[in-house]
Amino acid sequence: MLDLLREKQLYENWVLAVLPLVAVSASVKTGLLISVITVLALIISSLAVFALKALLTEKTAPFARLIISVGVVGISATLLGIFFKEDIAALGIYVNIAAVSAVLLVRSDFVISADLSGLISGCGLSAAVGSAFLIVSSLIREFFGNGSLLGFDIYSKYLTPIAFLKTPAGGLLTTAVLLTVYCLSVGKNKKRKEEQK
Amino acid sequence: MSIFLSVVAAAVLTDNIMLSSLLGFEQATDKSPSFTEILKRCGITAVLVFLSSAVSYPVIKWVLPLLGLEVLTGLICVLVICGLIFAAFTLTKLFLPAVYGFLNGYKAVTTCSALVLGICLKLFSSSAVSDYATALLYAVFSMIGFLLVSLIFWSLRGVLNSEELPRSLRGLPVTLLVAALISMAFQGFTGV
Repeated sequence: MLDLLREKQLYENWVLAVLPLVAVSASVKTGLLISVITVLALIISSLAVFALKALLTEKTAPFARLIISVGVVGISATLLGIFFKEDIAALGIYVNIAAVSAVLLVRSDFVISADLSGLISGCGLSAAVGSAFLIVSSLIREFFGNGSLLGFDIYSKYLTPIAFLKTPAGGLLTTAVLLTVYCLSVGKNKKRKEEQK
Repeated sequence: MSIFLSVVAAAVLTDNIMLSSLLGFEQATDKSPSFTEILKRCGITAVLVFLSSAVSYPVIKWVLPLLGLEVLTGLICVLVICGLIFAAFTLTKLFLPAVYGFLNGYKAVTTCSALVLGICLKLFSSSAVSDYATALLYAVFSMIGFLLVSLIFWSLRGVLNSEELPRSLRGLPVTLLVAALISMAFQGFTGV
């Protein structure tokens, strides 16, 4: 399972799937909220389509997953809105985009062809990587872009934060840096393995 | 005229769907397509964007508020998009087999849906959109903005995958880095 994390192409696909959500996750709180919504949509839509796989084909499964995901996203955003009304409102159109990200995180042909344990581990890994990426990038952007962490002010009274990091362009920059760090670590691991051989 | 210009400037430059909403990057980062392939993909997506905006805008703007069901905005947009893509598959399979083959290879449901849904939903949140005509104009020029950025990345693909770059930067990381710079440049048009 861990070897999958070293597959650069797979990792890039996960990052591309959640990239639109980076635009709004400029603080840890929004990053966490959008991750929760995406993970719920991913797991429930995948399990629902898996349960209905006798009725679906490879062509119709993506449609079904998308519609179920939007439904789950709508319900979870309404429920979370009871406690975090302003934060959910700030997510705007990205609440619904989270449904598409959930569909892109795990391929639909995998959902209808895998067995239950494979599906659970596949969804779990994708959900973990996707949400970890969103949370780490939002943490970096909040710390350097706002001078705070989890809403608590850290250094903004003494130093001016880099406000640019809160914009979508800042999100792209943070994503690029995180991907580069990932590629560097994968490259080092490969080198070490080759040296051991 | 000023309304037209403000819609065009917002859709193409300051509120570019790819650089400000980060939607549709899967298509921009695809290494293989040729120039004509990009035009074909953008053309198909543009048709979907136009039709889904034309159908979903009146429903969401005028019908849902009457019924008090504004919460279903996302679901309506997705149902319209899925219906259109399904209809495109069915009709092209019957009448245009060549286009059907292209749509099949393109995996329109997964690659288009984020972009089309994003543009449809932005019609209701963008300050540049005030009525049905400006909504359609915004949808069309959003796709022109998307095509513009896609062509920028297509022209840069040789540099972005160059052997001279460090291995860890090659491909997606440097593409995102360049996208951040272009996004900043486009933001410079704010207030024009």
